[in-house]
Amino acid sequence: MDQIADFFSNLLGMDYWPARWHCGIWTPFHGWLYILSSFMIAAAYITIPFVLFQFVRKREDLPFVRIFWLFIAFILACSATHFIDGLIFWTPVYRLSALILFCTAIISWMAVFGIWRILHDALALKSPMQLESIISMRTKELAETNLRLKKINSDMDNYVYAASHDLKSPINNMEGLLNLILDEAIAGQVPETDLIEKVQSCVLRVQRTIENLTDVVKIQKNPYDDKETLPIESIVQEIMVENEGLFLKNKVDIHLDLSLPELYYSASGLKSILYNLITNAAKYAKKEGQADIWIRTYKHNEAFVLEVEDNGIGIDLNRHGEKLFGLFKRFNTDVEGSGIGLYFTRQLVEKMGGEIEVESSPGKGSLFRVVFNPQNITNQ
Amino acid sequence: MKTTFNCVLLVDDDPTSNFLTDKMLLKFGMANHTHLAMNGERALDFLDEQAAVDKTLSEHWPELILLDINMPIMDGFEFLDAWVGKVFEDKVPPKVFLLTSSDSKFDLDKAQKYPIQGYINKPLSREKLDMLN
Repeated sequence: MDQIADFFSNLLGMDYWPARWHCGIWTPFHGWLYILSSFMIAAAYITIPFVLFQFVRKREDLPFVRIFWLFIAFILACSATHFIDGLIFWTPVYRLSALILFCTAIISWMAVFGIWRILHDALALKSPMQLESIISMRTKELAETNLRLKKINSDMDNYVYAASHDLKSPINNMEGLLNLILDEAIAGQVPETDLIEKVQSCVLRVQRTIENLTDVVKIQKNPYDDKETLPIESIVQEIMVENEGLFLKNKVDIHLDLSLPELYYSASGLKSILYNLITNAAKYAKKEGQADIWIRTYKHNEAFVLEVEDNGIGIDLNRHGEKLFGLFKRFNTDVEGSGIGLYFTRQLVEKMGGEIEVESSPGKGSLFRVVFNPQNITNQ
Repeated sequence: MKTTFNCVLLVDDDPTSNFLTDKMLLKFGMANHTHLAMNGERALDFLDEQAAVDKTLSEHWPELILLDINMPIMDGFEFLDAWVGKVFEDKVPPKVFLLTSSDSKFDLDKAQKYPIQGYINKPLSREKLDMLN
């Protein structure tokens, strides 16, 4: 204890040691090499904290500010030890030197623990390059979402336009017909039965349109939770039975070539897709001769592909290609239709990440190809 | 003074609408006779056919066209695109009105771009017939 008390009470005491110049034999070269190097290190060690201080002050968002302060203190302490080391050549303040060394030791170990503690978090910090790639990835995701939303928006616009057209037409007709009936009634005539029957058929058309629109809305919401393994052939047979009249009338012959006989998919979805494609192929058959429909399944690039090909009247894709899958779009006035089947089919396929494409030439026939998204048709 | 058009060409795929328009035109003496075309393409075919007929015999050359917008195969705007560039020699170009159930701004704006005489919302009524003069 006496030693400690003596140490601190006479911290700057220089009585017990000679100045370093006189301790041992120093050539001037050796001495000055030691002294100048020490002072230069000390000077550099003062400059570094100054720069760090400026850095910390200007970068307000800097993470781990405390470790910077710790390093500033550590480097300043190191500077002091080297300064004293040089100074001792003239003023042998060995006690002060020991104290400063001790302080430096404490601060350097604090720095070691400090940096150890933040190591994990610091490693998690993203480099500017990583940040840039994250930003570009997020930007890409946003652009894709934006595109998807735009498509939904334009689908919605088309839907509203088509729906309002198909509802307004029969209602406008009813208005006109009722005006005629009223005119006749005012003139004291018995209204023609023909007019009233026409009003009735308008009412039926409104009802049918509303049913179709409800179906369209249903499909937008369908969660496709009725997935199961579906045998294609038996679905085709079901469709043939349900449309026997049409198939007989147009002399339809169906040819199956199913190298993949089953598909794991939404039961109602697949039935609708096949129903629309097959009945379309049967409906738009040529007036003469036999109507052939080929239904094929196969694997292409890991994807399940379904094809429905016919030798019917075909479609002029150059003219109608863009509208082909549009809601309430029709390309033929000779055959009954609502203009909803292919719109429906496209929705059913695309909602599950699949694609539908068409090849066709007028007078030769059409081929509709559905490529199912591999991710959505696996059982696992 | 009410005009009577000799021949009116109705271009519309809706039979009930055609029935009504036809009835209104004949009832109020706006037309001597009408011709129906189920879509723009058939209307163009009809015009080509009539254009080939000799001037003195061309009683079916329409003086007025009432044109729907939404039709399969060739809609009203596609018809106008084809119609605008066409020259029918020796024939007086008919008046063209859009007669449609669409009141969408999109269609109205688009209609402004064509050299047509007017835009009428269905159904045709006695009051609206006056617009055709």
